[in-house]
Amino acid sequence: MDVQPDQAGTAPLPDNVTEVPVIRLDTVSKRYGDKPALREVSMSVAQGDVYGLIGRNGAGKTTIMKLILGLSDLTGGRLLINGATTAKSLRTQRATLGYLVGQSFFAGYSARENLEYFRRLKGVADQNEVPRVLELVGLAGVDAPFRKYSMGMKQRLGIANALLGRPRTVILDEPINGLDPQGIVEIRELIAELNRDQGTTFLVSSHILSELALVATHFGFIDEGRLVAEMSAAELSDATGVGNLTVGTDDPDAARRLLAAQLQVTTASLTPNGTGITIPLSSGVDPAAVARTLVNGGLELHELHVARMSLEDFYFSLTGGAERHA
Amino acid sequence: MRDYLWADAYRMPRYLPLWTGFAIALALYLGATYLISGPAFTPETYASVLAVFGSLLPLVAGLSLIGFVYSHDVRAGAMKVAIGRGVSRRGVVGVKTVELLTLTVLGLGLLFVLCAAWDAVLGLDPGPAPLAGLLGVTLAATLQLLIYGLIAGCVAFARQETTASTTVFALLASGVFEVILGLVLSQDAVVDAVGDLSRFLPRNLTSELGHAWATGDPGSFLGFTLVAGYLLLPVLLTRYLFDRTELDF
Repeated sequence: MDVQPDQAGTAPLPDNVTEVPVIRLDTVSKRYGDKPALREVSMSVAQGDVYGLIGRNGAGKTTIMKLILGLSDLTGGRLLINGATTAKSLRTQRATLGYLVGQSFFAGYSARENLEYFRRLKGVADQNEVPRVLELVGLAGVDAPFRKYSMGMKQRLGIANALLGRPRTVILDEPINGLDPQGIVEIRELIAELNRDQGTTFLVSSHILSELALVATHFGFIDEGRLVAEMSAAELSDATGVGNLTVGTDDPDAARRLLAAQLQVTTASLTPNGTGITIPLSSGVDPAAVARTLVNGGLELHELHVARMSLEDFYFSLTGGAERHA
Repeated sequence: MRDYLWADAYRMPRYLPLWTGFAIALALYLGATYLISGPAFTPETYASVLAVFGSLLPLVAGLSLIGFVYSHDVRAGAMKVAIGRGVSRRGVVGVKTVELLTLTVLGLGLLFVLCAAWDAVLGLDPGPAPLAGLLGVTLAATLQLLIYGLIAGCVAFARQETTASTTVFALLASGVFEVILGLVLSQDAVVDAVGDLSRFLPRNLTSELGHAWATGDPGSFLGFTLVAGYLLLPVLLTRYLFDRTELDF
């Protein structure tokens, strides 16, 4: 269905869409000279999502964010923010976004002075906003100039800047870069809290997939400028739920024979270190029955655990494996 | 756009080099006029002091101004935040042009007032039109600073880095570029082919116009038109280039 913008610059929704997505890309392409950076990417971030954008360096994550923020122009396709699609209405809607813009600040200013500048620039009237966001990211009371900050402190200030003015939608490019483990947990909890309590929508890119997996409600997987999959956390859970059962035992060969004879499990293989066996759960095997069979068969059981496919494994399965990314 | 100007107004008192540049220019004038004051004072020595002051003023005051309007902003990514908040790229160019214009006129206007007051304190009497020389130099420097500043701004916007724009400004404001270009344009072969174009270089045109305005003369229409062109062209070029510039985080 071809959707044309109306006079107010807002595109009507296709028949099968009932809610206006906060951010929507329709077959968006971007080229830098002859080099394609995005190839007909279509994705949709709905109100209340924590949308995790996953891809290796150079996959196109940052390009998507630059296009949304107007720092770069589309080569093809269409961008919608809150349904707005004309250049003028997009500019208006961009004022509702907060974003982490890397670590560019005035080097000689303190955190408070930097945020006071950006509060004015963003037209945020509430003078309590600066102390509020500094408190949120743990920088309240830091008077040193920005140039003396550690990488983690710079990142926290960038996040505080993104949250100035309580934006309804926040775009964060690699927000946990440079943070220590405590900082990573704090930022993850902050995202979850703002999403839960205030309904703030997040578009977050990160190469630390395990962290995204803990907080995102939706995922977009991007590789070489193409969105290879887009799914909810529940759909991802279903897709990665089929894992393996690993059994550590004193005689792996005997364990394989026993399981084949008594449970008709013929898919068991030796673990790489030879101290156990691995059985794909897709074979329908019951882990409790395996344990019972081996113990009753007189074997010692050292270990038994179910390993689900990690987000990394899933990403590699979509994009052709870890070897290609090495 | 108003928010962007408002934010930069917050930045102004905190950017010390902005005031340092004007303070150095003022100190140069105060020192030089103090040295030539007294019984040995002549209108000729005063005129030579004005000439030196006028040639240094765009560079000394301008470097700090360019630093405030463009360099400090680009390094902190402020214009990218403004664009991310919905300010159009042409709006950003407009804000920076307004800032350069306002600060140049206000800064050099204040400098003129302080220098004129100092002349009165020293009791300098350079001739029948005592303020005309100083006013002419200040007006010429104002126009030069604007022209060179807008050209430097064009580089800053297009390249999104500050070293090249500062270098371009220093080469223009110090007169190096125009001296070289003047030499080329005054070669017999060039003069025979297209006439003497060196008088149309910004420094010569603005000096003529500044001194004419200082004495109540509107100056030549051609000179005014060319100066207006020198001011307008960099702005148009900046808009064109900035519309096509990829911005990075």
